[in-house]
Amino acid sequence: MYRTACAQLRIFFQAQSIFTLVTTLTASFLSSHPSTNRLKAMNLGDNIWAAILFAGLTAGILARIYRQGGVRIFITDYQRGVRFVQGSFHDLLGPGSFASNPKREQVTIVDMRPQPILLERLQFQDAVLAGAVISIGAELIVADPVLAVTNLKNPLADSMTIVRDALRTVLSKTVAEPRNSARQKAATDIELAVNADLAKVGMRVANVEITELWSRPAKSSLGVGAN
Amino acid sequence: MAFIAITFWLLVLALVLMQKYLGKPTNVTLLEYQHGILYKKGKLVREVGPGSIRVWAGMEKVIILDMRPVQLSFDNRAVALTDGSTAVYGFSGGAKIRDARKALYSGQNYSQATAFVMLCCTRLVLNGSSSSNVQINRAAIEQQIVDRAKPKLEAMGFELLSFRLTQLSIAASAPRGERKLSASSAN
Repeated sequence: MYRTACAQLRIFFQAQSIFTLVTTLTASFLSSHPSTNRLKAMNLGDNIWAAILFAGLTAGILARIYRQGGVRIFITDYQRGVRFVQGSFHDLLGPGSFASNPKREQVTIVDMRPQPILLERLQFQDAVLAGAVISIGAELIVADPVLAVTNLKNPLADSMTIVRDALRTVLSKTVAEPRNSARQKAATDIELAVNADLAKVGMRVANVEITELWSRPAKSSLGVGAN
Repeated sequence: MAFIAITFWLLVLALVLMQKYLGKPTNVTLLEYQHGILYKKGKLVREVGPGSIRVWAGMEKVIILDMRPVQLSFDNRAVALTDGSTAVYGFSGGAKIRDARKALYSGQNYSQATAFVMLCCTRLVLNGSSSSNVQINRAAIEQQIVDRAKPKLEAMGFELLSFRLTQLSIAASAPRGERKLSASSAN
């Protein structure tokens, strides 16, 4: 934020100084003549010098404009841009149109829209060691574009591994019950557990829905227990 | 002379600045099956229909959506039923975009949204049915899936055009993975 403000102030002062220079030079040039109708009073030599001066100034400003930015980057309201200047993170770009100099800075555009994900027929053993199968549908969302870009090569694909691992961990600690209320509670637990892991890499899941849950009824005795 | 020179160079400067910040005026043509959403400085302005539209390339952008119906078909998918049997199912369906704006914001790849909703709803309904129910009430199950999928698709800006279970049979008494698990533990 501070850096952005400084950069904007610098650009503003540069532009203002150029403008002041141009106006001062013009005014001094024209006011050097005593006549009231100054333009008419100028002789041919003065006119040529004025034209050359303005051509030079304009060329300088044009050169500066062209040197400033090579390409324009357009970021829509469902995207964010992570700007790196000379290799290090500089700022986060919101929606808008920005000039970017590819020689000096790189902008990675991140899509913030949800990505639907399906994890189907994941087999696991629950807390009572009963074999079970689960399928879930959810939405994967980028929560922190900077973290996501700097920690994950492919935010969506790499997050799936994290989701799968977190899911297995949380499921092994619960008892798989296909009842509706138990499903909803399991979905909430899964969302919390998965989000705790994904938060470290700037991602999160939302709207977790358990689409399939089945567990083999636990066997009461296998030669161990009361006898 | 000087006045003309100054005016000329100021004009050049103004043109260059305008091109730099507004970009070049560009024509975007949308075909009759396309719909566009116009963004200005990153903010959504309005939806545009088929035809030609003039935009300033540096400030404005048109995101084009294909409004033609999306057809999908899935086969040989397994789901556990309430009684522990496994059903093998397949379905085909179609949907089209009704609200371009909602569809665009529904996901990173809006064409996947239909498949996602249909897969979730089909699995959920079948998982809540028993094998006898699946064998007898196939039409009722189909209707249940449609009833569940329709509002979800509408919320995403889509309209469900058709849905049909093309395959539905009972495969085994326990999910395949479960049987493998039992076999390996027995050894």
